[in-house]
Amino acid sequence: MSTDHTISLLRMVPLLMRPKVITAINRWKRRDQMKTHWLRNLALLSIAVFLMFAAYHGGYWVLEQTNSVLDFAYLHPSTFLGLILVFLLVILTVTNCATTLGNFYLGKDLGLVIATPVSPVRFFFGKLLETTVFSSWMTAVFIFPVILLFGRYYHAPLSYYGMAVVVFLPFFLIPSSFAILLCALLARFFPANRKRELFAIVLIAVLYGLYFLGDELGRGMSRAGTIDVTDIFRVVSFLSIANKYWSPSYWVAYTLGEVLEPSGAGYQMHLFLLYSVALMLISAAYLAVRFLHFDGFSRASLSTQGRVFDSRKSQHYWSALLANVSSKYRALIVKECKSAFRDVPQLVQIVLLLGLCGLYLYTLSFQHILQEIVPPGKQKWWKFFLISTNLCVESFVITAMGTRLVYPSISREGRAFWILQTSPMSFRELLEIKFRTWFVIVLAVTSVVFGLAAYLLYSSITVVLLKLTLNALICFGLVGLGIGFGSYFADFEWQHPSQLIAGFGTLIYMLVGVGLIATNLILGSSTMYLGFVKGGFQADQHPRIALLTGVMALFVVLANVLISRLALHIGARALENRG
Amino acid sequence: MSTMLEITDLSKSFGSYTAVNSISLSVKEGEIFSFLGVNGAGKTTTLRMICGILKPSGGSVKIGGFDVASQPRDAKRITGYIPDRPYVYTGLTGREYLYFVAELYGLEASEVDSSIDALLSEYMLRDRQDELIDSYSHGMRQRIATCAALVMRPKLLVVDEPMVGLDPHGAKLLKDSFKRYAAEGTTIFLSTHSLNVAEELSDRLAIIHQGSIINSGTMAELRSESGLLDKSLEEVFLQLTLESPHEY
Repeated sequence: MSTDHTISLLRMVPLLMRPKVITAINRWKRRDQMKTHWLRNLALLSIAVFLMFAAYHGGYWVLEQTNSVLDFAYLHPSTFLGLILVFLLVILTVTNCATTLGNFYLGKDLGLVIATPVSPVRFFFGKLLETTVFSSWMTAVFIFPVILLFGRYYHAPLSYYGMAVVVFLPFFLIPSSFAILLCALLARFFPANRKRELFAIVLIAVLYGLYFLGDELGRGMSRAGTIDVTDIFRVVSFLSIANKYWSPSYWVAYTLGEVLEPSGAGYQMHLFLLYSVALMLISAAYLAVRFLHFDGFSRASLSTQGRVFDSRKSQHYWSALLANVSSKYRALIVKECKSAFRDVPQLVQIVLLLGLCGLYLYTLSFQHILQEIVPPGKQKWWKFFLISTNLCVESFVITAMGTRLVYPSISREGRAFWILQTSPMSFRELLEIKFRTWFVIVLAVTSVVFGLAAYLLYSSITVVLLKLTLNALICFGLVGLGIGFGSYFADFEWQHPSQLIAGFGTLIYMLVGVGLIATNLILGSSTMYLGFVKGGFQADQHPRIALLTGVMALFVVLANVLISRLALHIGARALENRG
Repeated sequence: MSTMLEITDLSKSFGSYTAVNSISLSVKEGEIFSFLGVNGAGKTTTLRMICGILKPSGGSVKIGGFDVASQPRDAKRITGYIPDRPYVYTGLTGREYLYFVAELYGLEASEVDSSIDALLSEYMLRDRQDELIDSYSHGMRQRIATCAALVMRPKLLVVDEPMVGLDPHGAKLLKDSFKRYAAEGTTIFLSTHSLNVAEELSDRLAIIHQGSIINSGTMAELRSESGLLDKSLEEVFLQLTLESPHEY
């Protein structure tokens, strides 16, 4: 492409986004000059595309099987779409909050932008676009096969794909403008140096919410008894839990569902709601930024002034707590924890993950009811299917944790990475310490949440233990993959940490992560199927099947251990070769 | 005095561009050695190779007899580095950062408590030790980075542009500290283009230009070799670096 052509194309990019676009192009060109780098990225991208293709077919199969198992009740396509979209809406909202904090208040380049005579309209729309694109592009990539597989399954007309474009534009703009509005109000009205306390309150609220949900869930399950016709309505209503009429995810799901299988009710009202709410939120966000941003930005610039900690005492506690680990290990754990809990966008990510865990527990309620009313002939298959889909949702939660906390942990060192480079520690040792730290954290959180879920769902200690073991293996694989890929694609020159989860490397990590999850699901589900359905767990009665079950289990272990070690090895090599 | 730093045929290329071209030098224990050069001469690249941040394209670096390429841990354990831009962890307090660095070097926090107190007092950071580094000024960050480099008592201190961003008090404090540490046996290798600093502190100097060392020795040797016996270091430096054209 000629330089003139590039310049005329760049003129179409809003002014405030141009430096980032040009930086990305220049970096790409620089890497492009290195043939091996280019080939490696191409190979990784090919694997990722292949995995996406596999995910598409896997998703199609799941949709097919789910509809066949639920053949006793009619479910509109919008019900399934709504379940997926509500997860994405939660992720988009909190991702946008983290990105907004970076783009509007904490970015290192903001001082330069604020000092220029840029008009408020240009500033707002430039930053709105930047926030929306950086926060949503990956979700858009992941929603693509979902839209395709729904279209194929329901034999969608061509207008369905056009409508998908129409509905997803406001779907992405709503969370970003909401996040901008929320952050503008918070930054203006909440004293900047009290953000920590504010987030502590939010965390307590989320934890209370989780407790409340668990309690409700427990009661709901104890109520579940004989099966009657009302249970079918309960199934439909439980599956519609996520599809609240006031949620933008529901409006999108309903509109697309109506195009797929028209009920005659029409989708115009939902489309109108989608666009009017998006416009209203954009207008409100603009006004908030127009009148409140500068004050909030000034406060945010001084947010750390005057914050005093008792460093000596806290070091004493950490030393006592981690007395049995080496000083290097302790140094990195303490640094990671302190930095994470003192960084507002990082706290936002943690709140997101707790929210996701809450949503996960919420969706369990309908699974349990479904288990109760499935016809006897399908009970065994249903049990296996339930475990598999549950594993799928759990893997999604682990991937979200990996993407937001584990993968960026190397890049988050930023320009201070020289401190680790000059310390007497090899990169392999560094990655191993990071891996162990995050493995323990991710394993602890997921074991509590998924262990509780497994206990509530299956009530059999064998299944709970098997699920926890599989969870530990998936965590091992995904955390290793996150640290390894995070090192391979490390970027230390960011303006704000929220940029780290919107890069090319994150996409590759997520796609390869989906591949690893699919491998785990296939191998793990096969093990469970052989064990439970074919009697492989009774070695004395079915020795051959027991042997096969053992081999499958061994494959699960090997797949996760090997991929984790390989990723860490590649990551360490990449860091060593950066110079 | 034994050799603390030995550089042999060290080179670094970035594609077709050669930033450092086969340089060799050695620095003895307790010596203050200045590395002078114009912007882009290859000073920082050389320092980053000494500290193990950059991988050399050729040649070797030995610190205290340990090869940085084959024995990086041993070499790094006795080396402190103060970069020109003090990027440090802004989410930690000054004191927490010093604990972090000490533990990275295998020291327990309790072992270094008293030396941290002494360093924080010496570098006038005691009153701000419990505040986040995020709220520190550039000069304060430079001083906390200096404290971190000194907390594990290095045998070799590698300093890149030490006076950038420091006020006159800070600059004086740093110069006095370097003299004292050198007197106590620490080797100091500093890169600078502040000629007055180099002239005041250095036992020996080297001038790097377009990636190659064009002259090295004591001040007297430099003057004698350039034929400018009665001139200041500034005049000697300008004379030597203007002889061959360069790009800034």
